[in-house]
Amino acid sequence: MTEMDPKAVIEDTFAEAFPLTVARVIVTADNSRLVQSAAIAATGFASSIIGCDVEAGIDCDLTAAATPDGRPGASLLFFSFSRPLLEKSLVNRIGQAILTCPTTACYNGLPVDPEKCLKIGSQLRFFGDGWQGSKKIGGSRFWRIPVMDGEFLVEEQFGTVKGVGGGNLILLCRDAAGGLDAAEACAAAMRDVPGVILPFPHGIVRSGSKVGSRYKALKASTNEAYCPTLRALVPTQMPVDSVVAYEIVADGIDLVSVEEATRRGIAALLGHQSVIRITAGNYGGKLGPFHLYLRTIAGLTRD
Amino acid sequence: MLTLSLLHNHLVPVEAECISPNTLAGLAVCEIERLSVFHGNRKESLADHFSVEGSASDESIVVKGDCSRIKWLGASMSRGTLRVDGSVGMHIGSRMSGGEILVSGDAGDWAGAEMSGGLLKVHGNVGNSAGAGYRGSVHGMKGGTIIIDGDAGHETGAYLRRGLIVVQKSVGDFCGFNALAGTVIAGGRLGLRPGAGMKRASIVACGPAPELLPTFQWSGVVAPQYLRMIGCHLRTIGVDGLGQILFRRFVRYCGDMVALGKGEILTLAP
Repeated sequence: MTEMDPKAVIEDTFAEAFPLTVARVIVTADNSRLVQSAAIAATGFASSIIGCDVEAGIDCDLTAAATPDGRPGASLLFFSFSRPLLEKSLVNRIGQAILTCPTTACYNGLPVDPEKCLKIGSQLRFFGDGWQGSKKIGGSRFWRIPVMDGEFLVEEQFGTVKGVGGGNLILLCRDAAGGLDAAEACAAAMRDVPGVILPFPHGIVRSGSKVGSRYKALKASTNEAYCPTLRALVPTQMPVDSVVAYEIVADGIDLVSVEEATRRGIAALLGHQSVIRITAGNYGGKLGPFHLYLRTIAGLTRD
Repeated sequence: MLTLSLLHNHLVPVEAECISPNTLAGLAVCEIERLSVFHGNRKESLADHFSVEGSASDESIVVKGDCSRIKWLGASMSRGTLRVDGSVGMHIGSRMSGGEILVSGDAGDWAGAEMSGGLLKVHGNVGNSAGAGYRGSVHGMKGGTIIIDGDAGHETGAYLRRGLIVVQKSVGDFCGFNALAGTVIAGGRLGLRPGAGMKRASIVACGPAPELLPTFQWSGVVAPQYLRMIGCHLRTIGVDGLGQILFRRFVRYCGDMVALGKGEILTLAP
């Protein structure tokens, strides 16, 4: 641990990230309110692969000029361990959260490799019960599914790439309100990076976990080393003058984007009086091949 | 870039299907000059009709002169670019599967007939049966895009199977006759009996409402999202004329009920 700034210390450690399969979904609708509703619903209950089918979030809002059909839209990112899992989740989520929302349409946002693509529209089309039709436009096929306000348009195939999940920062703070402010600023800075999502609610995790549990049925359990109320009972990672810890988790479409998000997140935290220490979660290098060394990313020398 | 300049105008048509990036790329000028063409029923060399300059190694060909009697240019091409500075005869881009053909003047009958991919763009008018299927064929155009800035003749998109035909001005009779799928968009007047016998295709009439066959049934007012997509797609390939119209609402008529009845004719909503 090295003193860098009178306000915060960046620990000489790394965030341990791992590869995930990613799909980008472009959702459009007649107005941005409907886009937001569909986007929030489709990316809901998708905070952690530990307990959800996917990790997902809103990458960015899109202007009408940037969408395939000239309407307001949003870019959504979905992460999963494999293409079959991702395909199943997307069919369910688009079918239940986007198809059901008035005026929406749904497009692929990544290049399609026929051997690595997800068949989405070609499964959702069966909702049309034989009345569905398709159009091939610019080399891609789109399914037209009759619905009560007209038609739902969905692209047949969605591309995938190998992305990076599990990028993270943990901030230890000397007061609760200031810590939350710092976490919000950090999340906002990381979320601004194109191709990065923060899958947890508001982008902030207050229940950081460790692998395993004393209960065999659980894959993960609370990370007691960062629980301020357990300092007297367990080996703690919390300095004496800290009262709260938060974790910001970031998934990205590639390693570069997660590194950039981490750099911006650290920069945002360094400006906050209440942040005492910045660290990251890792499992000794056993979980994933991507090690994001905080001090290197922040442009500092490592110990 | 290879430049072919027409040496003289013809009364008897010349069949020059060798003028295609697929055939000419990689050939030396002397080899290109020796390629065979048919002038009427006589076999002649390309050099008898065109002067040849440059190289087609970049798969880019420019044809200059009034080629309205030169047939089969770009037939079966699958890649590269063919630009015709002037008008061109029948069967331009017939059965092409890729690449781009740009014609600055008019094109004859059967432009893009049975094509399966690529882009055929004609700045002027085209004759009959653009994108259609040849007599006896099961289907016509199977993919790709035909853009016609002027008028198109009769039976445009007949037996259409897939793909997009955009005519910025008027279209003749029997547009989309027996079409199986695909889309024809007419910016101007649509002739008699559009969509007769069609099964699944879409015909979009952006001009005056056409007189429809009684086997087409009113099916509501719609604003199809795929038309907005086509409007945006057309902008990306430099076609701006119809873009905004495709964002409007259309009256949908389903038909042809003598066939499967899953096709549609869309006319601009009042």
